[in-house]
Amino acid sequence: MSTGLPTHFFSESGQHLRCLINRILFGTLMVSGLAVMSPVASADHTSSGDHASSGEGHHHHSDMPDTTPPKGSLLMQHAKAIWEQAVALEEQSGEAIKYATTLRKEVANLRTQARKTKTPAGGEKTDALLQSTLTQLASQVTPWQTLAGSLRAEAEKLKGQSQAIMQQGFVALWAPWIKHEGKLTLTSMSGAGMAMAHNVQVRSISPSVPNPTMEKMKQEDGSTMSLNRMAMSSQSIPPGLETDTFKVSRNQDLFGHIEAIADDKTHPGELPLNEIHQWYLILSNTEGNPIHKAQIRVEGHMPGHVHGLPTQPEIVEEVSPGVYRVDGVKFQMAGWWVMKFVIEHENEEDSITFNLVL
Amino acid sequence: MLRRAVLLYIGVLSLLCQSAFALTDDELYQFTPADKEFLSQFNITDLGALPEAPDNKWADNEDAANLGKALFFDNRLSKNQQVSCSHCHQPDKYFTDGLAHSNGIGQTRRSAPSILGIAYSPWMFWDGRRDSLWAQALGPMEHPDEQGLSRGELARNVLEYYPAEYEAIFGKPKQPSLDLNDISLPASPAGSAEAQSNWNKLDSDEQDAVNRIFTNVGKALMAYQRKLKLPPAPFDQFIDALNDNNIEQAKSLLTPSQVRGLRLFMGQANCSSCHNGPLFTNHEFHNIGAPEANVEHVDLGRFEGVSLLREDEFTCLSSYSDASSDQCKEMRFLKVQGPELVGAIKTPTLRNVAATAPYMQAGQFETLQQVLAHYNKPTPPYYDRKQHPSRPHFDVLPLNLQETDLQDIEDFLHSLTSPLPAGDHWWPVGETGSQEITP
Repeated sequence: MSTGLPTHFFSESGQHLRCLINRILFGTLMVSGLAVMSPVASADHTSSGDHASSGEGHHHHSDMPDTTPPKGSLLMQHAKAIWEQAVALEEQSGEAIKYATTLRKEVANLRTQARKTKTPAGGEKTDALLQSTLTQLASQVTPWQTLAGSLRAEAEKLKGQSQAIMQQGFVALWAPWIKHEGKLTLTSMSGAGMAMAHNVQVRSISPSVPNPTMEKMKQEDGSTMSLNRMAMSSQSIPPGLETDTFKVSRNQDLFGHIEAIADDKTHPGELPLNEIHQWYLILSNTEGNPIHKAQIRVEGHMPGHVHGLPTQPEIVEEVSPGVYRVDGVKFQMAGWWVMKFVIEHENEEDSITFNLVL
Repeated sequence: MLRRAVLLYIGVLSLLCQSAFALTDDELYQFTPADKEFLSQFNITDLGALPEAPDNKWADNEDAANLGKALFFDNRLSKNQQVSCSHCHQPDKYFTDGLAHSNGIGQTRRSAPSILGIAYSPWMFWDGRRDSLWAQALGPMEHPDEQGLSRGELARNVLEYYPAEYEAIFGKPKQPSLDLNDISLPASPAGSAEAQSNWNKLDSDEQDAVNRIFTNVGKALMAYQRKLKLPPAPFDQFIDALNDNNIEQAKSLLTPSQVRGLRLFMGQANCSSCHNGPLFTNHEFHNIGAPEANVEHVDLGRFEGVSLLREDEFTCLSSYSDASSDQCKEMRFLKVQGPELVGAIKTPTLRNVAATAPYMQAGQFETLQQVLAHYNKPTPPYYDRKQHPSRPHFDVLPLNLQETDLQDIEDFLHSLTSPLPAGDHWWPVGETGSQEITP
């Protein structure tokens, strides 16, 4: 293939440069050879997302009294299909970002190389040509990054749609067990205000490292408090952290839902602070069938700190096919918690992770 | 505009300045409704009812509490007849002894903590190696450095000194074949070789009968300790005054330095992240990197406490507990692994802290000033890979406060000292209040 540069440009010392440019151009063709990576393909995906969101209409048809599978199963299957699309988009986004990064690094390398290479006498013209080529190459970085970003955003959107449909599926299949579909929060009963996080950030601190907790400390409710208080922001909760209680497993083979079991002191969806309580974990395969007789391990920790749960929760019984009672759950402070269920079923190990911001 | 600029300027200044806001004395005492609501959660009058104790049927029994009180002050319940619970938990010193290592029959490894408010804690001892106050009480009785009795001797002594009281509460000992005057003493599965040998000569019914009396003694002591109530300290009265909008009274209760200290305590110094609630403790275990008291025998804290709990014969799950296993969730779901357990020590209450030196589990710090200096620039925990199962967790960050800030916090801590009560049946104070029973 032609690089579009005069062949005499490449002197002996320019071999490496040519090599790099070839790699970039070759790479460009390789990647753009993938249909999904072209801007046109990106538009295609947007439309596939539209299709996904319009999929709900499709389900109304499935309610027709005929031999189609139950509504819950169809919803689960649909959720699975959308999730797979989202994962495919994520992979493509990853490819795009990887490519953008390679491009950026290579352009930088080339520029360094070009600076070091002495311009041959009368080579001002080629030099200018080289510079313009490099500029052109560099200008491709941002569009690739933008493409990666929009693919990722599209994937996120699809995942949200998938989870919403999965949620409908769970409700259709396990209606009696599901009392709360929203996020889990701490009970508003007294004591929750005491749920301050302690200031664990790092394992050890050198005196020269600024204290992140102290730096970020602000009045939690600046307008009404004159007291300084520990700010939850110090736990570096990622913005837009997903805290859905309906989740897809790591291997994408299972769907799971967590449900805090309400008692006389708490409402559905509310967790008591500093008290041992119970959850239900409901597990389904992507066809909407319950995951029966699974071996499940419960793990949990606070990412912003360096510690785990204050107790060791366990699955104490499978109260109904696919519905497991979790006992021994306790949170002793507010903040970002991660709860992970490691599930062994039919010799396959999978896991489902839930984020909680309490 | 000018006002806004000035505000901005003040804002920037306060950001630049590491210490608390430079509030004027009047501003210091201005607390918003949200402040007051927050602070009220630390008021001793907000402590709430005692936690339920399904593992001890006599936890709230008045007679058991009275028997427990007598036992608490009874020097005869020790090997040398000179050491009672009150020997190290002295009412005049807020149930501490002011020593780094307590002196019972011998010297203890750790310092005697105050028992005030302990009924609210799910875990006992600095390492939480017991899960109830009744089980806790049994430890010092048999410890060779504390009261040094075997459970066989203790059972015999209690039935000899308090036959009517014991029987009125717990009924006749169920094992008619057991004559405590007949068995060879000392007898205990946990004592000297002699005690163990004598213990093994008893059949399981006899052992059970001894254990029953032994644990009932613990249950009476628990009933007693649940009766101890803290009178409000100046801090609590200050919160009440704030809630009554009585600023003049508030000013008479806490000095400006103490109020600055209070603000630092709740905010920039982060003390309240663990020392919170009316007892100023979260009842959790943390490693703050206090100096290792004995580098030859490091304190593994909660890590060791958990392993002792797993072997313990007197937990909520044991046959001596009155609870069903469903009521023993802390034990059933006990966390037994995790780097944060290594060297972690229970957060102590800060109630009466200024009157209960020295500090830390083995009195590593003699003064509050030393404690605060440590928090300001903490040293990482001592680590010896031969002794520690993993590098100890380190739970605190440097505060980098100024000397004057530390002084303010220290002043504030003095406001947590309750007055010693007068005429409290359960908390006898002074010479006339001495309840010691000696042979």
